[in-house]
Amino acid sequence: MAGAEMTAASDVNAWFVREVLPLEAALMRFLRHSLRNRNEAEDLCQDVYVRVYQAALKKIPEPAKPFLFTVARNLLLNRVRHEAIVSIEAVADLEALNIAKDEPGADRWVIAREELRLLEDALARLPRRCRQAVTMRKIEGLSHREIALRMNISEKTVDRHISDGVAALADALFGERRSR
Amino acid sequence: MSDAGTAQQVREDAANWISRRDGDSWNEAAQTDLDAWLAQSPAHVVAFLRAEAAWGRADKLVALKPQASRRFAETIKDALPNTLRAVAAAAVIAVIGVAANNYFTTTSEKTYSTPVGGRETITLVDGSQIALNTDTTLRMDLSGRERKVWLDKGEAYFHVTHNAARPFRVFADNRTVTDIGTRFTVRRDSERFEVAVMEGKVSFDSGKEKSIALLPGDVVVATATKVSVTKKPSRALAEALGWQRGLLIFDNTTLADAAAEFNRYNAQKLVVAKSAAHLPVVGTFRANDAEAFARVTEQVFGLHSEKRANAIVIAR
Repeated sequence: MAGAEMTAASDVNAWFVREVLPLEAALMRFLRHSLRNRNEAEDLCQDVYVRVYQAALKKIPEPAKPFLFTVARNLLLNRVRHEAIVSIEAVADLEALNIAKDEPGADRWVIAREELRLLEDALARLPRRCRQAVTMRKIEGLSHREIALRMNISEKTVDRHISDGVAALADALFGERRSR
Repeated sequence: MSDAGTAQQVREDAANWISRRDGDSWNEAAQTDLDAWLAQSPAHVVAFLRAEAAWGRADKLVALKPQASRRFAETIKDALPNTLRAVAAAAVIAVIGVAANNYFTTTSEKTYSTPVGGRETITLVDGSQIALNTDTTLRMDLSGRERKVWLDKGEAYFHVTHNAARPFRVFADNRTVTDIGTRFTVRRDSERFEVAVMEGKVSFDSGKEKSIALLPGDVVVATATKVSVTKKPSRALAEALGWQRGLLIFDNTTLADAAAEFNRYNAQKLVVAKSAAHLPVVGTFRANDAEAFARVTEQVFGLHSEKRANAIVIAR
């Protein structure tokens, strides 16, 4: 396996962050159209990422978008074939959703344009204590230890608040856009 | 489903690693544990990359860093809708170059002005506050029964402590804005005059017709020939107040209008070619960084920008 890896992991990592993550919102829309619930879509999204990442270790697929959606489509088809109850609708939708592959690659632009606003909105939606911790870390530049003192909580609890913040900010930046 | 666990669980784990690494107790042993976790599954790797990228980009939040005048932040906080409140706590005015020159012989009249790109906040003894935006001049006379402010040019945000016995009036040419307990902005450009009400009630007198009562959300635009009143959602009004944090916030503003906004704040002017003037701009930008804005238009619209002496020309 290791011998087949042609591309340096660091290059693949940079490529993945730069080219693939900005497509997540579009990918999730595509997956959710055919799947019953969000968890299923998130799981499948993870599978798509894994396949795409492993493929990139051999050779980085350019452009990223058609490749990502081809992988997603194949995984969806597999899933539909193996499901006990096959939804005819789901199969029909897959054909109709070929359109998704041809969407203009505007997603990354949207992120560039709205990133600060997305971050502000996500920060405002965090639970109060979590928001305080993230604000102290990212806006005031305090360390976890200083935040612990300031909030009168343990460093472990600070870690937990920051961790919740990381997860929420990642969803805000890469996940499906919330309607505004 | 992959063997790595549910996507949600993996994402939570990844966020935990990022948080721990961001903390003060990170050491070699912890790094070894992280490496082992990453080696377990590519699902761990992609989730980690995702969390790491998000946390890195969150550094942009530093744009909201407070710079001065903690008290005024509380004022703005109340003027913003819920979605922005949390960050507004940190959103404060930079007090730049308090230039209170007394040009007039009457000792009771004071002049305040800001240079291009400057901002200033004035707190009056009665608790009222006035924030001056870029390139603004106003005069104030608080000695009489009425509190009087003349906006000679530019834009200012008023948060007035209401006092029925001492009306607060803002004059611009022959126009008058009278506070009836409120928050509002007044902006005066060369040919245009605008009043926007965030809260309370103000009365606007164009000097020609009967005075108009304005309520929250009302925006009056007066030119030499006409006066119009429109209603704006509170979000739009809050965005228009972005300058108090040094930000310009656009929501489907044309590129030409966005450039004109930047030009109020910077000596280096943006010039937009006609062919690109109508493009819609969405996003939040630092008011004092026209160059960064020009770069974004290159990325987003595929335009070209060219730096000249005192100007950046944006064209297709």
